[in-house]
Amino acid sequence: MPNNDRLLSIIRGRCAEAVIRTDDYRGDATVVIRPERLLEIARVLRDDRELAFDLLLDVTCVDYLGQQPRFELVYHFYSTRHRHRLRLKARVPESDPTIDSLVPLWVGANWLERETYDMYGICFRGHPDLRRIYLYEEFEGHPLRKDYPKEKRQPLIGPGSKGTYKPRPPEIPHAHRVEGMLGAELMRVQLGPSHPATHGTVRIVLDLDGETIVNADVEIGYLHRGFEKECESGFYYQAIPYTDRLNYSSAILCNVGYCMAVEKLFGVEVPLRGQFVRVIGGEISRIADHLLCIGATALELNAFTPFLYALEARELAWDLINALCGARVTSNFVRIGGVSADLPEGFAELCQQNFKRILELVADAEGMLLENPVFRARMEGVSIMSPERLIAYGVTGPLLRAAGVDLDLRRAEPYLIYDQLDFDVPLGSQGDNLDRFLVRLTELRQSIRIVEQCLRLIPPGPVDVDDPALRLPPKGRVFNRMEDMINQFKLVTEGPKPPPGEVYFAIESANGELGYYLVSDGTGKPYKCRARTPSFSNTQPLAEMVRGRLLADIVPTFDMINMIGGECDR
Amino acid sequence: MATRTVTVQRPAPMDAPQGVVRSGAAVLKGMWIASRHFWRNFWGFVRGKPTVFTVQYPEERLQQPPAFRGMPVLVQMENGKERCVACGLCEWACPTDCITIYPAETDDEIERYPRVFDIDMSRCMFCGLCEEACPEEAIVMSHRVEIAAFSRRGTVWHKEDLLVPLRELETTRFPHIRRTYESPAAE
Amino acid sequence: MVKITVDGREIEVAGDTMLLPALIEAGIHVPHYCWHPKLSIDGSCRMCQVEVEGSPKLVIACNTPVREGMVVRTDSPRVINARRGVMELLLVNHPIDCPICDKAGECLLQDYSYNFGTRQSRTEEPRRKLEKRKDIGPRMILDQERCILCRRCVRFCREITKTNELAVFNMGDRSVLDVLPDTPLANDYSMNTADICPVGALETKDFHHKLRVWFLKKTPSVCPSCSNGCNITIQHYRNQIWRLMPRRNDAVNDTWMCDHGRLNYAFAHDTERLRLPMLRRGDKLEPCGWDDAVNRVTEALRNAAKRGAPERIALLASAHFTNEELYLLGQLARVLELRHVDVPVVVGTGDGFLIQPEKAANFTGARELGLAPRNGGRDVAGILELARTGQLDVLYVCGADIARLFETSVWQEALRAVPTVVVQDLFTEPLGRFAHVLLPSLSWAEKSGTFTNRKRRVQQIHRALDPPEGQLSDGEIFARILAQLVEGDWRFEPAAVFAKLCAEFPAFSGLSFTRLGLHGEQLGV
Repeated sequence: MPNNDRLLSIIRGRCAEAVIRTDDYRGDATVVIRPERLLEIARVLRDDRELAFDLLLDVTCVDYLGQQPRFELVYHFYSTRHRHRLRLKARVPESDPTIDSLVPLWVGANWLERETYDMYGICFRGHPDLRRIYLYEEFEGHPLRKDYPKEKRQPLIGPGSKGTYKPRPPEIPHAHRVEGMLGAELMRVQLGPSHPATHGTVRIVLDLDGETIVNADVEIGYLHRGFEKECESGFYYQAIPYTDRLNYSSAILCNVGYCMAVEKLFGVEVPLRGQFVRVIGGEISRIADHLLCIGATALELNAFTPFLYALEARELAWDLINALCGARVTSNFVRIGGVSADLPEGFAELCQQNFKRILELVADAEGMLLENPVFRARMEGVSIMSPERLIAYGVTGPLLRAAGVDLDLRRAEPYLIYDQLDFDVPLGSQGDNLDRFLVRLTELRQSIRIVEQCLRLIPPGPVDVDDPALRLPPKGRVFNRMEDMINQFKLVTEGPKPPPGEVYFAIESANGELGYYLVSDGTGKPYKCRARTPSFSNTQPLAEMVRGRLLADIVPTFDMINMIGGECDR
Repeated sequence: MATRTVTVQRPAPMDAPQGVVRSGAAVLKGMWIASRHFWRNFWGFVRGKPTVFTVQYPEERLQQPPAFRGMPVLVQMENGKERCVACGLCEWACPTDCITIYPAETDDEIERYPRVFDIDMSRCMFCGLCEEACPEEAIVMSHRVEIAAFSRRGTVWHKEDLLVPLRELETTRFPHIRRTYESPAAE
Repeated sequence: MVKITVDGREIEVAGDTMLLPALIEAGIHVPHYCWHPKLSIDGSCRMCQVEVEGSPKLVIACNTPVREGMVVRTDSPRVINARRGVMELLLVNHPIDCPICDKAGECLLQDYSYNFGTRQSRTEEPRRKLEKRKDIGPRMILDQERCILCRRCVRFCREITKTNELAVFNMGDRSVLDVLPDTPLANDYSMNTADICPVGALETKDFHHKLRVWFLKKTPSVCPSCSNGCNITIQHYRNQIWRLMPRRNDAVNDTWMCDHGRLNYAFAHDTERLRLPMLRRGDKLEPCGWDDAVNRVTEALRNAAKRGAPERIALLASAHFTNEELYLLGQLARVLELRHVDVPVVVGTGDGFLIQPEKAANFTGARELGLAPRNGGRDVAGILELARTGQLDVLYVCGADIARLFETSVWQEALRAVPTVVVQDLFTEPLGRFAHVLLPSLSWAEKSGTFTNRKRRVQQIHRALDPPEGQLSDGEIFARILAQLVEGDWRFEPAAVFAKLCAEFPAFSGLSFTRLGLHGEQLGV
């Protein structure tokens, strides 16, 4: 555990008069600052050698309706060098909800700030392109504000009305002012929103010079379903099924992250066996996620056979998840304070059997792809981005590791029982699409290794915490015992109530850092439930990665980014 | 900490002239792998032990594990009545508000029953929170999954449609629920 | 005032009270069942035990007087343990009825078991068997198994209604709550026993097995049934009222309300309600647009007024309207210089406690706002007489109270004889068939505003139900008519209209919606 006291005292020392307050709650270091000093402090945070917060994970806002000032901007930072975290908060009033943009320091703040603008109406001074990111221009109001009713309906306005989507006019670099038959005009191509070669609903507006991409504008938000608003209007336990739909190809990992964040709020820890079960479920999910990514990449690069092998392997992984929690995709497996059920009988044998076949199938898919000249030509050396640039974009996960950065939260900040396990963290050497592909392949095999270890090491005992304030009583007790019946009623009708406070908790999901930022006001419903999802940050550099490359390079790059709509759009 | 980092091994670059040879070899290797799959499946077919992964639904159906969460149904007891007493916990716990219950009084010993119990299957997300909330083990996730309908109205299942005899559930979902009865946390 | 120390914190409390109310006043929550702020002390539940320095045993806070310098602990291990013991004993024979009990969700037994009990039981079924679903009166049922013998209901019937229907029979562990032989619980306030019952032993038949309480949304309001203005909470869900509950206001109704008022709500969400304005074509009423209806009314009023005879127009306002609506009606009367203005009100019997003779919520408000015959104008009976004898061109009737005040033949004959009858009411019946213009009105649950009760207390009501989209509120109808008759800012925004009203009428001066708050304010002289 990093030393928060030292960290906070350094920050207080560096910028004493800009800091209003610091605190350390449940291991989260928090600094509250004066909003007008944000840019200055952020620069210190990034550039100071002892702080070195090079990764801006998240920007969001909390609406404290009825308080003055009303809006609290919340920034989460991480240092890849020192492996410490920081939460920065600044309040802005409703009358002038403006704060400096962090885009000059972290290019990745761009989308995050656009999202905050969209959802809360916060204006970011100096932002290069402040427009709505999820909702359409005609949308009235800012939906995550507390005074925006959840039930409110607004008409969807189609093309031709006052402000339909207008991508920014292309900035044409001089080199592309081509002369000749086609003249100097660029061709505008809409890739998506439902393009057969992009698994995920996203629109990329391209300005092409021949086959070369001059400009790309990635438009997301086609799957926006109001995750945060839904979570805030239900009890803590009711949000678990919604987390399934974040990254629907590795749902259990999303469950685990959310429930562990809530447990951090409560300050409880799940019994050892429960932790093992969570790791087993999570790693099988990761296998399924990587298999889908690998298979889909093959498919979209015209290799149909390896796709079928990968999908067959994923079916086998899903069979395991199905046996574990009764659903293949929408697992709803983890509970606050435990899991919905212990491992079923014969699970270890089933795993053994399915893993054997998965490994065979993966080897077959790999054998068909890696030496294939077409596949190699489209992957090798394509869309390289430097590690520094990726970090500036807030990219995490296999995408960052393929560029050689050793950042895997299972290794960097071992949670659950990862510190008791033996596994490799694969890194790439060049950071091109081929490295990204190989990293995922290796991770998949490592995940199988992890599950096999867990099944060997798993201790007997309970999977749930023994705390009647958190977990529903066992059904057998509810039927004929009064207090347990009352407990069942109260836990369902009011939900478990964590103490007031706020936490951020992150796990290594299949695509990178999946963090949840929860604010509790002491009631059974989260006051704020924010998901920092890797796909969102990982999709952002797509435009830059493909700029100057050929149109065809979008497909493998997009596949390797592995944008998951549910996670990116929430 | 027992983790370590490894750098992934990149295959050798496909430069000419060896690249041409290796490309040719790769094509042959691909054909070899694909034909192996073909023969494996063919032998399985010949021997009457199919290894084909596809299931010919609806003629063939998968055997689901006990944990499987299909659509929520109401337990029908031997006397033909529902076990539900319309306590409303499932209606409240449901994140999507797909359950509608109107309780009413009966002359039976348990004085309350659901006069109306509707589940809008098009809204239901099969999460199983209703089953967990139920204090009477009256609503359970069955192994049934077929909810297709010809109209939106048809996706709303009424009480009569939702009743499933206890006997059927005893062999499908109940073993999974009851497993938690004797779990170490219970006693 | 005396100083006491509670859990290490020094607080100042009133000197002449018991400890429990003093602690509650200071915001310190001590669980209790039998104590009720408006009833005598019983001391039977033992739930409010606290530790008082100097006393060897725990004492019950409800029956321990406050003394200067008292040192109290409400959270010591002894206290917590004692509460656990009390909870366990209370629950040891409690039937496992939560799934079928209407109280679940607002049950003190549930709340305290969850917050102060063990949460895990050491006992199983079976439980004591007693009589369930016992019909003890026209509006109440009793479940003896659920009763925890706190005797709140017994004291209520003894001290508040003084009717003594309920008693605890037998002794010790055979004690059981019941009604006396041949004495059904039938007094006018019987349903209050369900409110004060901390568990689900006493339930109202009206709400029995209707809805789980956690679905209910709660809107503070005022009872519309008589001029007492009892403070209530409208509890509604799916745009329907499920029950009315009294809301504490020591200046008006303490914590009680009468059964009649409590049951008088179904009209508000009745599906037969008039929802569209109607115009008479031939002998049939046909739905029309709002503009048509309002234009027709304005035209009739203007024509009659043009004939130089405000005497030929009569206005019968409704005592069910809010002050804001009545203010606009007053403006209408002023603009047209009407003389025949009155507010009919049904007068029944009162009981000297909460039930008042005037069966309308805002009769006093109408009088305060000057809605009465002026310059020799006629009252209701006189207006109907004028109508019958053909001396009226336009009769504007709000509400159907005249049908309850007069013989059918009297009002029917009167209405038949007027060339233009405008009726503004919740239902088509009974006046609708005589109307030439029929305007839908909103019930009290669908609008915000203020009522003035019999003792001249102004209290707020809030919108609980949403009327169908597009339906104008009564105030908006008046505002539209006014806007057509005379220049001016006639938008209907309750808070703004109330501000205007307060500026104009000295008795209301200084009031505002914010100042009225939840409990209202007394009018000035």
